[in-house]
Amino acid sequence: MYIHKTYTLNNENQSIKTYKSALKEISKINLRRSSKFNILAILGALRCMNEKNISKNMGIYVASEYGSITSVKTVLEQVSQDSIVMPFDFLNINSNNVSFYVSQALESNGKNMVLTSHDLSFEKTLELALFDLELNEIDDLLIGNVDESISEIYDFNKYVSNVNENPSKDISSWIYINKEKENSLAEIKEFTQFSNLQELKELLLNIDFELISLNQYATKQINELEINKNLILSHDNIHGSVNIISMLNSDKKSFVYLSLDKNNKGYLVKLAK
Amino acid sequence: MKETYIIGKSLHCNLGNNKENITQKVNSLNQNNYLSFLENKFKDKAFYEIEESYSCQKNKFFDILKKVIDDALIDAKINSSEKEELHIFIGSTSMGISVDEQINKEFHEEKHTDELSHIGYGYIGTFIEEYLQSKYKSNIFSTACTSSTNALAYASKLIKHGKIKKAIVIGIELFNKSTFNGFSSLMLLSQNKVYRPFDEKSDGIILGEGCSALVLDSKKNKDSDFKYISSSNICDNYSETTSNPSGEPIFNCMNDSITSANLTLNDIDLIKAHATGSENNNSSEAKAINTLFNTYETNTEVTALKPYLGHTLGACGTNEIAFLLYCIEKDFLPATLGFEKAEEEIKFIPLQEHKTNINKATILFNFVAFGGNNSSIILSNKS
Repeated sequence: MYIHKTYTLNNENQSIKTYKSALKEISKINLRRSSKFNILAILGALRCMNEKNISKNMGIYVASEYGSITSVKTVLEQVSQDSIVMPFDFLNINSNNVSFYVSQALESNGKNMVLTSHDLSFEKTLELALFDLELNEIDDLLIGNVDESISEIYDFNKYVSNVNENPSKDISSWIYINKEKENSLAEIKEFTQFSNLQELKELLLNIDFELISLNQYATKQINELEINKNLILSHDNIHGSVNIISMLNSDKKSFVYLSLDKNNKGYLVKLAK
Repeated sequence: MKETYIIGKSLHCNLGNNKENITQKVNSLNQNNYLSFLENKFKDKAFYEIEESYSCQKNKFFDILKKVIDDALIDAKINSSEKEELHIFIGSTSMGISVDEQINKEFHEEKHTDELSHIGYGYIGTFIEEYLQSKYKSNIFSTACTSSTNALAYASKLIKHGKIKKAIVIGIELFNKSTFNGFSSLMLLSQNKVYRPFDEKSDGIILGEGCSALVLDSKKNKDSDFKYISSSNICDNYSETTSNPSGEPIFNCMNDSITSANLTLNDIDLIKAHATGSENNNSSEAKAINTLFNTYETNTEVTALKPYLGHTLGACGTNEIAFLLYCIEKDFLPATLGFEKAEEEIKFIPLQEHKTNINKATILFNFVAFGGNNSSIILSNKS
């Protein structure tokens, strides 16, 4: 499996207006009442696929930790005040409309899915997307890690896993993958699941890399895993896709991305240029 | 290539929380007593509600989830050491929003210090992982009304291709005002408060709540266990809320599941239609079924299950599969209650009465979701 295109939007919290204006420059899709979550996703996906012809059967996969949280909060407030739930607000909490609109904006006819998995949403989604590609259920795939900043929610860190209390950002990070080696940016050499640190340690014994990126829980295990600190690329730590793209943008040739959840289950992804 | 079998199942819905209760009630229902059944059920609101009461939404959510998991594991004869080998697949539309609604309301009433229960719904997966002590990370599907169907399809295929050994697939959808009021604001709910899929008097959806679990394994426990045959997922970009009125994407989805298994319609004993009762779904799905019958120059039985369960949205996949497999274990196929006279475009007559003496069948389950997500899945317990 080969990575051909990547794009990362990784901004401090910005208004929906900013992203709508940016989207208007590249797409005519009408999203007048749509959520920031949707706009972020479409903007990132279109920028990633810029000038790339897509196949008739491209799978679109959206991984999100928080989903359409701003819209959910709007509807919760309406319910709490016994107000009418407005139709567009209701549609905006229907999470899979994000992949629907990405698919519509790209004029794709393949399948689209929205998935989440505590702290490992991108990794679990990538696992299923690669499985679809392996089975030839799709010809190519576009996977996005999308989350809007939750910084406007009071004391937001008490609701989420943000071990290092990093600022919460607007994220729309996308990777396009197919089976063609030619003109690819990198190859996914390994994608392995492990259930505990012992299994991970055994995996690491047989893997060489020039650069490693770790998510927030993996970062806590650097000493336990005896990882050479000089090889670590420190970055976002929460969104897997952002971490992987950061490594690919370096001048190194072989990479490992390690992600764990709070119970030390996780994934090891090995990539090579 | 391995096989995937459903070796255990459970369902908690408005009709009860075990096979005996549920099938007894279904068996007692017919076209003549259907209206009085609904009248009694919809005294407070037109909603298929779980009857048990709970001290708070959080307890309701997790108590139901735990019971459904426990019951499915007992049915599958999964022992405690095997639990950790289960891969977890979850499908839901509203996830834990009922819990958030209560917390948020109490926050505004100054009874609670937090305005939300959680941000995101990954915590549901973590809860189940820890409850089962599973070694694996859960997958949570959010594809509206096809969520648990897609969860089942992926789990089945992963077992079939030897990627995983065992799985539990869970669908959960509990009453919440966000969804109920949202559907109301879209004017999709039935005003006559009678679920009548495909009928000329059909006037909309009636929502319901339910939770179910299916345990999957590559080996069957008993001869009557249903086997995964095939599945198909096709996304249609026509509209966020309505299917392409031509019915073509729904037809393609059902037909793909048939052809990918090298079957023909002659091999299908029953189509379980999605049949939400909405004008668009009645019409587009009916056209798709008509096209299927024309393509194969034959027809087969069709039924709809939402008159029993209500539309349980993201959980309707596993809910309706568990429900129908219960009925077949009791030797019958359930009738489409509320159907009297077909809408003009409908060229078939859904099952009018329970069809008895059926304990082996090949069934095509069809589901359609907001966002154009169509999923079909074929299961069979025939040799």
